Amino acid sequence: MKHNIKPIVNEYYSCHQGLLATYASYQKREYDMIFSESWGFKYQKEDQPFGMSLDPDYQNRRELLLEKFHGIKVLDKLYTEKNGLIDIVQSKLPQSPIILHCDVFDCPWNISYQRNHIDHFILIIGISDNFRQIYILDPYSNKDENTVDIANIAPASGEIGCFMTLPMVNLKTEDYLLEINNSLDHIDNTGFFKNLENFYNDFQIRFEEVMLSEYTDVYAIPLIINLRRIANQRYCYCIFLNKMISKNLLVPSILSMMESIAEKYGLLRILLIKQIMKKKSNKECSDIITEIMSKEYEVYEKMKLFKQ
Amino acid sequence: MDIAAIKKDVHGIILQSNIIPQDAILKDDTLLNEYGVDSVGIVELIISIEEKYDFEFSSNELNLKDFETVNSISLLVHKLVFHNKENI
Repeated sequence: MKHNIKPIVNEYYSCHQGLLATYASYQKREYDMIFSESWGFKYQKEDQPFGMSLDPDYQNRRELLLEKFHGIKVLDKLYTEKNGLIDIVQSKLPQSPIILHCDVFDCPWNISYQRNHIDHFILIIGISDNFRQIYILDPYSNKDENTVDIANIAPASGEIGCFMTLPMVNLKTEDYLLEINNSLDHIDNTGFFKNLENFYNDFQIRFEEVMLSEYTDVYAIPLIINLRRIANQRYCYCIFLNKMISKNLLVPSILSMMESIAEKYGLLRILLIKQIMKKKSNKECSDIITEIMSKEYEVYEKMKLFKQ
Repeated sequence: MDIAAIKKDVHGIILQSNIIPQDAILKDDTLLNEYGVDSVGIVELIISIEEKYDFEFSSNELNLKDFETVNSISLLVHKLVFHNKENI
């Protein structure tokens, strides 16, 4: 059996966000409020090597947000052996596609197949008659339907998620406004601006080690990938801002400021790749980080005006 | 230098840099990402263009949207490298 689902492909979504969006769209539901958790910045000063711990620092509430605002619940379930997984897939698949937590190393359609180990989420949309092969959507990697032997992709034990579509409830304006508070609280409670400052300070003295190291998979690649993740999540946060503006709960200037921040992170990334390739640094990147810090603070201050 | 000559150069740079398959049919309006060119590939291309024309893009000229096709890249190079010179 197989669900006929059209993947939602968006270059800014993480693999997990892409799956939630795909299922919501399959159920003809919206999903824009899941991105209200996307504004963050984590950096551990002690991190070795530089840039490896950079992280978008989500609030980790996206499944709760999907349920509250869009009426779709994700039911997580653990399995302890592959046969157990096949049993679950057989029993649950008729009601819902299944999110499988796996490793890109095992995904033949992903560029990192047999090269890098990175946590990944894919959507099982069907299973073959002999229960050996599964049909996969992975909108983060491609827009195609992929087929793989279940034994080759599923970890020996792990986690899956099934969906349940609930009736929509009427939400109040306060429910939406609460997400502004949650964003600002997250910024305050996670040391967002201190993290940015630490990153800026370390960048001045440690970028050289990234640029000159031959171990690109340990130094350059994590820095570049993590900056892309942060840039992408700023664009995702813009989806939430746009929703709030459409409800007249925020002013449009906040959206354009956040879009500009996302662009700056993207530009920073491109300049860093260029400098790493040319093994030549210049002051431009430091100036862009300073600009990002100032713009992030400006948005934060402006958002505070709408805090309840 | 006219646009047609720049397009020829850009074609050559893309093919030489191995960022697309050697047997790819590259038209002036083909999106490079259709051949799997990612941002690292684009930066390789940017560096090669800078070397070819002996100039450097400033940060406010580095918009990835301008590096999507041979057409868009050639227009940008023409504007930044030759248009200014011709106006001197």
